[in-house]
Amino acid sequence: MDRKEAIAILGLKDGPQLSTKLKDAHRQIMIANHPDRGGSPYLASKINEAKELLDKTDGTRGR
Amino acid sequence: MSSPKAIVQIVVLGAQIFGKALLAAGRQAAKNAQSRPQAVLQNEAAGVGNATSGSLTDKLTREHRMTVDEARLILNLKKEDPIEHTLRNYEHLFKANSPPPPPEKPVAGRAKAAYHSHYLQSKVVRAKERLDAEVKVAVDGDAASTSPAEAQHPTSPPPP
Repeated sequence: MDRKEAIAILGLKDGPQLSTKLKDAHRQIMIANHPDRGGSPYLASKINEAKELLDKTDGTRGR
Repeated sequence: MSSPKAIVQIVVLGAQIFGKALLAAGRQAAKNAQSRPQAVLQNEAAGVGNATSGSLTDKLTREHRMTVDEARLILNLKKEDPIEHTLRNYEHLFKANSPPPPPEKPVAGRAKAAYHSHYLQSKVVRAKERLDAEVKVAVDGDAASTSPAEAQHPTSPPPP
């Protein structure tokens, strides 16, 4: 997974506001796809992977 | 009058430079052509690079750029699940990743930004298309299984 795919998975746009929206987007998309509510565990793992990737690259970049 | 000579010299020099540039461009193009397949293989979706055989399943995998296994994972299906589950899970996942409907009345207070992933929704659609194609091949194969030598190994069992 690259950065572009991670951003697409979380339904975000690349930009300076990405890191502030990351948490909300991850939360909502995770709720929608949660395995406990009929979501796919595979997609859920991808969503988490995307968030971790963006956390790692963007969390330290802006500040 | 040295102008004809000078013109000829200019033309010859220009042709030489142009030829060299063309040669360099050609070399670079050849290099690009050689290196691209590897780059594509590295970026390839999971498992698609292994679908090299001529079987129908592998052909579908290449066409859809998705393996049956990945499609099943996306739609949260097990191998032994009946086909009806495909549609059920697909509809659920499609709806779960749809953009939320616009509110009928403007809600007082802070408008909550709604996130949804078009990318995931399209993955769900692609996964269903992949499984449908697999089922179709299996059904067609059963209907026209005149020669057992051509029998495939359908990974999706035909409906019981």
